[in-house]
Amino acid sequence: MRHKKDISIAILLVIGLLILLGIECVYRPAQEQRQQEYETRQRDPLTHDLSSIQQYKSLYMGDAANTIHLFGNLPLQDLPSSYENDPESLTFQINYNVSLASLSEQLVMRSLIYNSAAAFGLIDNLEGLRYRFLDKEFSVSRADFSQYFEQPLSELVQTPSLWESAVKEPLQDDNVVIALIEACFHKTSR
Amino acid sequence: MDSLERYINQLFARYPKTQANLEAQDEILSNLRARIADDLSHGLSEKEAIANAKNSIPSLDFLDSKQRLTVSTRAFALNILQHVLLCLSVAWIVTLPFRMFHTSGRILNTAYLLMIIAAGILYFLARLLSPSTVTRVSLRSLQKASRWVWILFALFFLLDLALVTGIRFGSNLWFSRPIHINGPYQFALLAADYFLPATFLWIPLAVQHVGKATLEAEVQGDEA
Repeated sequence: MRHKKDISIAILLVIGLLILLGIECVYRPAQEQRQQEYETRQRDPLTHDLSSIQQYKSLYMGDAANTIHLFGNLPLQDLPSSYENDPESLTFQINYNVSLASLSEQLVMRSLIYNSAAAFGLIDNLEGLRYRFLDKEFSVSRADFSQYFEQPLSELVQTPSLWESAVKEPLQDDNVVIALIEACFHKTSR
Repeated sequence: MDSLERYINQLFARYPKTQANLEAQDEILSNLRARIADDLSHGLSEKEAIANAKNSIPSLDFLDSKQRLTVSTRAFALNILQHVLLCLSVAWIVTLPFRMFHTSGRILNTAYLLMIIAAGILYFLARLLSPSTVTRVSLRSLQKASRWVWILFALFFLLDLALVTGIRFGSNLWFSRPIHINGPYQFALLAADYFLPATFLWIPLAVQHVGKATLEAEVQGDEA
């Protein structure tokens, strides 16, 4: 009887080890790689997944946790940052604890446009955004930014196909990016 | 089986079927039959004689303090450790899928694997014990302990059930909001919260088996 139990235990352990190896050596490495690839795509405006931020739609920029989570899921999310709220002017400020000179300017410019479109589209009463780096500051108002788009930003952010054509595709052209930054953003050096 | 035998069987029902208890049962039954025969020879009716015999043994309380068995330490330890290994192996395998998506499940599964390794080491060490070494074990204490462990497990499980339900659905219940489960992944996370505590069932099962292991490892009868 005890010998039979020993054999049963040995069989169970072998089965368990095989399943464990399958999970740890095959499934989880593949899953981690997929996750890393997704996170890399999320840091680039050209490959960002819009559906990951639609849950942050809100009427009020005063819902600070919601707004912070929104920017935590947009490009530039990996930069060390802090946030400030100005309820008087309905402006949300993101303080990046890095200098612009140390980053890819192309990526940052695209991200500022993309993030602004997303924030103005999802947060209904947001009127202004301020992106403060250690060496430069960019500010933009909803009024100036919205003029560039034919449709309301709130409509664009809810329709993936419109978002692709109206927001993402133009960002592939550096000239469009530069022109938009010059037209809509107010730049100051610090 | 006559009424006297049924009566004695009922008295001995709550005692384990140890060699000594079975011998005591046979001895008491034969003594009572002798007493009945004696009463019948003195003119009592069969009914009166049986009633007298039953009244002479109203309970077996005198046995309670004597339920200690002598067991082979090696056989006892090997039996228990083998059962623990079996229970832990099953618990480990059923919690393996949770390694893929549930942090607590991964931690618990790793803990079970470490317990299996520890129990396996103890099992091989127990095989080195001398077969002649014996230990005295109180079977009634083990049975009481087993009952308490089952009660504690039931309380733990019910408390955990209430806590998980409160954390997951408390707001829904309080504000009368409908419960939404947004797909199989969320369902799996919820199921894990309920299922993982149930895997601790191996503990009361292992403690319960100790009584059986005691009987299987008995080397001589208990004291009268």
